[in-house]
Parts: sequence; structure tokens; C-alpha cells
Amino acid sequence: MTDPFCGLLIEKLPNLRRYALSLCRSGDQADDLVQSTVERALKARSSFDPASKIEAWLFRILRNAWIDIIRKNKVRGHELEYDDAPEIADSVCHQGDARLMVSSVMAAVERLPEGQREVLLLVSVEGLSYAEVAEILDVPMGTIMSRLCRARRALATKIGLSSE
Amino acid sequence: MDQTEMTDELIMAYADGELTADQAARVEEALKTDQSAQRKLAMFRETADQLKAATAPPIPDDLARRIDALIGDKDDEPAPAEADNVVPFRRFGRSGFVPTAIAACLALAIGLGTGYSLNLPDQAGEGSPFGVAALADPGIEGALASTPSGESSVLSSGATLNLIASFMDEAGVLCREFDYEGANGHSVVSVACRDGGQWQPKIAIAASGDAANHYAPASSLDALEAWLKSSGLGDPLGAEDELQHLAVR
Repeated sequence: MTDPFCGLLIEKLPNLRRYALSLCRSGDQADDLVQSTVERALKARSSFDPASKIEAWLFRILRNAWIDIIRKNKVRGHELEYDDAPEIADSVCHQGDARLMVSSVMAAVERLPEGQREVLLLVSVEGLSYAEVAEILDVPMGTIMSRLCRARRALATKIGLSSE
Repeated sequence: MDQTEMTDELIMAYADGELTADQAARVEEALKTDQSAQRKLAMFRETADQLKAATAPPIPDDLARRIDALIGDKDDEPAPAEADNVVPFRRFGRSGFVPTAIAACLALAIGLGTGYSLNLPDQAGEGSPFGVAALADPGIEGALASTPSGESSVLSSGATLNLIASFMDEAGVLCREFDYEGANGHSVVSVACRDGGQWQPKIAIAASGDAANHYAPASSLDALEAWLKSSGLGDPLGAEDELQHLAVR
């Protein structure tokens, strides 16, 4: 008999890893982040409401785990705030293995600044609502919409769609 | 609704189905006469369609094994098929990965060496740290001597012994890696080697003491991993080899 909660967890692993890759510095770090998310999810499973969307809950856990890592690295004093330096972050973080580069559109997503990339992934790729993403990222809905809008315009330019 | 209200955000929200019926109707009305807004709508729809079609990259084998180890205790699905000549044992982070999460559940790691026997509960003492006391369970010896790797044995104390793997040390002594789950929820991962008629623990790692989640997190087993690498035990025995060695008294 399969535990339905674990079944859902396993089903969402590729989505978790994709989100982790969009946040992270390397494939290895993304994998650690996914593992840490699963550990936390197993411990906190009693707080999951089965009537709600499990990916929204899991993404929030993953993001909190990621923030913990960033905090730790900040304390160590050799990590840049990713929002402040998207270009540097891109050159450092997105080299090497295939990860998100499964299509030209996802390759274009990878070149977006972090804040835009994250919202775009959660809404347009993962199919979450603006409100769900606002809750995951803990920012106002207006911020979600303006980031998403900028991301979509930039993406359209990168993949050769005209918006005007 | 006049032109000035047709912001990009509003058009995007319409394309994404985020508007109420009222709002959507007003946008549709404005779209009829606003060609710039129509082009924007097409762009927002096209970007959404392309992104929706993106598939997530597959999970790497190593990560899949790590996740299996985490939820294995909670799921009765059969373990993934292993190569025929290797005993199916539970693998925890065997790739030498460096965890980003600090091993919060790692309570202690002890190189026990010699002089402590598994079957002498008096020496272990009632007040011992749980990791050591757990290994004093008198039922462990019989299970170590007979249970194949990949199987579990329920001891008379109510504890469960999960046999993970068997190894031969350089002197030809049989060693077994196992996971002891006490009836109280405490979990210890250990390697013990057969010394004459007794089993001597070589290393014991106390994993989570949380009764609800008594799996051993991969991060807490790095010490075991490091020890196994330096111990000269080499690769786990195959199923047939293991059976032969278990049969030898």
C-alpha cells in the first residue's frame, strides 16, 4: 500500500527540482535543496491541508529552505544577494550541466533576472495562481503582477515575439 | 473602460484567466477597439502557452535514491530493481555529496573499536546514551547472523533490525551494516563485525530520535560513509556470497 502523501511528494519531485534549479547555484545544490524540502515536508506533513494544492505548500517549504541557505551563506560572508546582481549570479550559477535548458524558451527564462524568473516559473510553468505565488513568496499581489509582466515582455523579446 | 486603464498587467491577468467575470467582460469590450492591446494579449498568451509546454528535467538517479531513503520507511512500494549480483540494500547518500543542511538529527557518532560487546546489556548500562543502549538489545546477534540484507527482523524487544549490507574486511571477517529501530522510535545505524561467536560494533550513528520520523537523514550518515571508505571493507557482498558467509558459523 502506498502512502498517498508520499505518492504526491514523489509525483511533484520533478517540479520541486525545477524550482530549485531556478533558484540555485548548481545542480548539486538544487538536489540538496530538494532533499531538504522532502525532509521538511515529511516532518511537517500534519500541517498540510489535503484540500489544498500540494505544490504550493511544497514550493513554500522549498523557498524557506533556500532562504535559510542564503542566510547561512551571508553569515559566511561570501555570497551575493541574487536580486542585486542577476548578471553575476547568472554567470556563476548557470554554467555546466543541462538543468533547465531543455528548450530554447526555458533557456531564455534562465537569462531573466532572478526575481522575474521565479514568478514566471511558478505562474506560467507550474500553473499556480497569482495569489498562490504571492503567498509562497510573501510579497503583495501587485509585485507578483509587475514582475510577471516584465518577465513576459522580456521573454517575448528574447524568443522573437513582438509585444507591440 | 477607457484606453488608459488597459495596463499591461490587466491584459496579462486577462490572458492568464485571473480576472473576475466582470473585469474580464470590461477588458473584452476594450479589446474590440484597441489593436495595441490585442497584440499584447497575443504576446501574453503565446508566452504562457510556450511555458506551459515546458517539461521538467528528469530526477537524477542519485537524488532519487536519496529521496527513496527518506521516505522508504513510509512507503511499502518495492525497492527499485538492483543489479542481480548485489544484495538490495538501502542506500543513503552514497555518492559522497556534501549536504547543505546541517545534520540536525545527528546525535552522535562513535568509533567503538573493541571491548564492547553487543550481547552484554549489563555493560551497556541502563543509563547509557540511547545510541549505545540500543545496541545492547540481546536480539541483535541472532538477526545479524541469519537475516539476509534487504530484509528486516523484528526482535523480541519490539525493535526492528533492517539489514542493509554485508562486507568482508581485509582479514576475511564478515561485517554487517544495519539500521536498528528501537520500539521507542530511536534509530541507530551501525556496522558490526563477527569476532568469534560475537558481533563487535565498529561504528554506530544515532539518527533521528523523532518517533514519527525515524528515518536516518542522508546528511547524518556522512560519517558512516567516510568510515566505510576508510575501513577497507570495499563493496557490499552479492546475495550468493552473503548467503555462504551467513551459513558459516
